[in-house]
Amino acid sequence: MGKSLKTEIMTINMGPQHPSTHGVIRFIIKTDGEIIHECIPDVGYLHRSIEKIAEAVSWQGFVPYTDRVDYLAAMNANWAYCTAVEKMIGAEVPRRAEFIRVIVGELNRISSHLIAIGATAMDLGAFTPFIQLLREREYINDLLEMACGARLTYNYISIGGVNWDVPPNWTEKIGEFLDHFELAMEQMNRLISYNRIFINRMANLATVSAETAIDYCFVGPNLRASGVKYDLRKDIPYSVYPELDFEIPVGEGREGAVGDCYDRYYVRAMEIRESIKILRQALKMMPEGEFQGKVKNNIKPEAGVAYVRHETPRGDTGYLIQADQKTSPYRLKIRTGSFTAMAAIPELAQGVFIADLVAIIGSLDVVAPELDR
Amino acid sequence: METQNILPLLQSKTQGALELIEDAYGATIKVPAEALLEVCRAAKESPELAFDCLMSQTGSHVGESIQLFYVLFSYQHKHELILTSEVPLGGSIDSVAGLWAIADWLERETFDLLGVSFKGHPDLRRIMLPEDWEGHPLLKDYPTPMEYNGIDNSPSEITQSFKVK
Amino acid sequence: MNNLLNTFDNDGIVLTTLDQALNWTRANSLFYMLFGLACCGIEMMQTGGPRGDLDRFGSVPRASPRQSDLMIVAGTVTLKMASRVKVLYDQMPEPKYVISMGSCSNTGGLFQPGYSVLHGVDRVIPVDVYLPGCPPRPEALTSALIEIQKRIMAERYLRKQKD
Repeated sequence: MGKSLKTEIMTINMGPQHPSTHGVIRFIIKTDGEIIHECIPDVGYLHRSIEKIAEAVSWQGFVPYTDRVDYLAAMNANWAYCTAVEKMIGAEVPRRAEFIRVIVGELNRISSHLIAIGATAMDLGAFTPFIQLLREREYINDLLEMACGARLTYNYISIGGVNWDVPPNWTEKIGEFLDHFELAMEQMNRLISYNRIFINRMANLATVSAETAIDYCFVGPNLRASGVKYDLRKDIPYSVYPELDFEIPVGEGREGAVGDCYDRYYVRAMEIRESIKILRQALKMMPEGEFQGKVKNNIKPEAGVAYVRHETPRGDTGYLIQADQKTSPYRLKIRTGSFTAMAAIPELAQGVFIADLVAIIGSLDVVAPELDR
Repeated sequence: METQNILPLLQSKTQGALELIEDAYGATIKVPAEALLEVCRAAKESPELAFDCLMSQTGSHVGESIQLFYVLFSYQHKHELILTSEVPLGGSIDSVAGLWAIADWLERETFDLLGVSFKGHPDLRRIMLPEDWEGHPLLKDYPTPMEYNGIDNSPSEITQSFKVK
Repeated sequence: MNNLLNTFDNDGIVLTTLDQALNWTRANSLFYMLFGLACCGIEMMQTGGPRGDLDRFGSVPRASPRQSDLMIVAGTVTLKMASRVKVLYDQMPEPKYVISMGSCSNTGGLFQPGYSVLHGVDRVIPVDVYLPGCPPRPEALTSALIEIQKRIMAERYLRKQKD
């Protein structure tokens, strides 16, 4: 009976507007019903020509655009660009400003990982953890709004320091938030991490070995989940990270093979715990002093090409900047972690169900603006 | 390993003339366009260098030619190298997509925005802009389009005051 | 019509026009389509979340345009995406309303010097309420929703259908 049925491959469009793709990304899927034979991503629906605009605005005036490159972790994106320019002009950053940068950077790392975990869970059908994590994220937004005035696109870290000083009782409020948040993370862990249905859907899916991960230039939690222990905060330390004590979580194949979707999720959950440790230490060690270094208003770096890397929540973001002694960059290229993760999807999505494709995209933590810039 | 010490190791594997360019931020190695694939293969496969990761690949429009940049990194020895090469406008160069899997998409982006074609690339088409777009936007003399497929995109009065120079 | 509950102590008879009754039901159950494109989409999600609750207005997010009557265009519309916005707008059933949320969909925002950004979503679809901000706060999005509600309450829906 099966031999006389004629089957053919259908081409389905998982279009730009879809509740489960993280932003506007389109997939053209060739399937025979439920199993994917070929998956072709079509990107560029949020290409906002940021690299061309960089050639027209000043060095300092480009900082708000870096906010929009990755809006879920805007403080870290600002920090990456400012570190690159400070290395090029040799600027000194005062110690208090370094500690403020570490505190807001780690707070933003926590809130970015919360959205990554929550969106993955929501795409698999679990709505409750997502709403609870949104509630926790509101507290973090309040703390950052006290420091700089904005909830999502901060424009707070500038070349040479930070823009304004923090309010007087800010450090106590962060301490109270951390006490409350550790209990909330325990509750969230019980809902998701030890949940048998979640484990069955994510374990042994899209396993990426260490050689494949390096070949596709995976960075950040994606790379660490495949077993490669590399984090820029420990290996090429910048700012005041050498004085802080924290671990680097690496994927160990907790519920399946090393480097599957569950490992990528678990590395992010463990990184939240490490960020809480870093925050507690930084709050105790923060000194008094200046919050902005002495940097001229119109800087003109020397001619040449520099490549600077920085650890943002989605991996290491590399800024390749070519300067020629003018008041704006000559060419600026941002290579982000989401771009390399998306390039691996045609290979990872062979022979899985369509519902598994959604889990793969969620575990790789792809956001559309980083992909398209 | 510093770039000055990498240069003789690479020069011994190829015929093309490599040169060391020093600027305020470090040293880069300039490779002639015909020798690029050989040099990259030597960089990846020789055990003292072992550059197993292509971190970034892009280009920049300087004068009448396009200057390409390749940033390589090694997870075994933890050293970094920047290679540059030069092609004329609209020219082409060998593709390194056979060596590193990520070069596929990085080279597609360079083709889309700058117009450099890559010989031997498995699937060279536009990635960021729509398929029927004309022109390559990151060239310095690219005019901003006023309309696309019947949609009027001319700027409003406020926008006239901050056009791209 | 405002004191509907107070009239129920004498046998529950309310005198009003059919227009007002229908407008009242339509305004208090606006289903919005999940059309978050960029940063404003995150603020739209936070407004639907626990603190800036949109469910108290009767609005729930729907994924399909066939089941929604409000489209909140939240984020930058690029030229590649513009034709898809028009297709999605055409698929929504009448009566439908559009809120343009944020500077990027009002006029192009801070990406106006770029080459691939549409200068405002009103070049492809008609817009009812423009909401400035980058991104607008949840309270601002709530006030835009209340503006749409006021606009619906003032419509003469049945008379419009008859012409």
